[in-house]
Amino acid sequence: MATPEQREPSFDEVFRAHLDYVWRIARLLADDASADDIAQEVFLVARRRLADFDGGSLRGWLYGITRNVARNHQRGRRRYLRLLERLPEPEASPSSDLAYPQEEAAALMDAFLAGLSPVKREAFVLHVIEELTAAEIAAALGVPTRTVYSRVRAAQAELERFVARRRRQLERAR
Amino acid sequence: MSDPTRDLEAWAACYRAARRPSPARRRAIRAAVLEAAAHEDRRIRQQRWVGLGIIVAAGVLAALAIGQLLGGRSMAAGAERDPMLAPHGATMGEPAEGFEIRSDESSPRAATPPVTDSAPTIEEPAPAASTPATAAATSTSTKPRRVEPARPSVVAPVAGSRALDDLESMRLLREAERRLEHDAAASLRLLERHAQQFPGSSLALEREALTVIALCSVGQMKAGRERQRLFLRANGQSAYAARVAGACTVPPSAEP
Repeated sequence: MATPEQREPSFDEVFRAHLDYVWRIARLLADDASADDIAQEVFLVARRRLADFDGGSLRGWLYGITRNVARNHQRGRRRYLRLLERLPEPEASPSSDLAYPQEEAAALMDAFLAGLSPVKREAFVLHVIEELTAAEIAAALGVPTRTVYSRVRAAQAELERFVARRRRQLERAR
Repeated sequence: MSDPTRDLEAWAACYRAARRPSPARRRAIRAAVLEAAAHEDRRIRQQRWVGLGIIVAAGVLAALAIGQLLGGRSMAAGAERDPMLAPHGATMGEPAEGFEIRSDESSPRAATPPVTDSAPTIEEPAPAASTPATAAATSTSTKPRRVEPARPSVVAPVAGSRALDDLESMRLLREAERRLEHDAAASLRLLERHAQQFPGSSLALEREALTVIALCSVGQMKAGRERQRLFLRANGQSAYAARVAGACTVPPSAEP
């Protein structure tokens, strides 16, 4: 129950504050080309259900919606894949005009995330990249907090191994 | 390359900065959400009107039924009280001959469960209020006989027909989109039909986007490109822009 001090955020505030977050999650759960559509659908659902939001973690709540929408979207999307094959490549990455090191670092993170199992990726992204607390993630995923910690730790161990491998590859290349 | 793993937080911040929708994409998503939300609001309003129409219509029907029942009873009661309203020779508990004959008729109304005292009045065609007997009965009966059914029954079909139009419009467009993949010509025909039936549809933007794709898919490149140009000029920020922008390109080998 929201107190007067904790007034319910307006839809516009939610949209402005969390579009990037929702879009990134959508991109990871589906793909870059679907992220816009999924984000759009997520905010439509959020707008419809904002009154039902119980005042917990808004980002955890949005994650749950995004996951469901992405799942449905991917089901429907399979039907259109052949049609889309006839269309040109999606527009260039929105970050293509960024400074090279930043893009390179992001691409490296993408490569690491692509090799993680879905459950570890989910925990790692929410905790390390999106900075949700373990309690928020536990509530969003419906798992105990210690499970969140163990998944994040396991993902971080894989990150260390991934970076070590990359370093060796770079050294060999020199 | 710098070692981004030295500071995982910085790396994550870098990732967040690099992986977010561009301002143009943000604007497009926002516009699409607002458009869809407005459409959704319209649909909800229409559904409310349909629901209200159904409730009103049901209420009117119920009132009519009650009115007919009460009217029949009060007419019978009036007939009992006023000998002038009763058929000749009829007394309480003793139906008149004329009515006995009529009650034997095998009309659909004969299927109505018989009511001993008021059986004659059930046989009486209640809505025809022009006969003196019925008019007199109306004067003795109360409210239910005064219900006028016509007005609400007009409201419901109008609201319902709009909702049905919307459904049909959506169905037609979905069918056109479904066929686009395998039978673009059929899809184009459906889109043309949609344009004729629903020229001012709220789905006109989607229809136009599909039309561009369909035209180019069936090889009408000139028409397709012209409409593509107009579409992108007017709706360059719409959610369909990227799809439309890529619709009329052909592989380099296919170009003449």
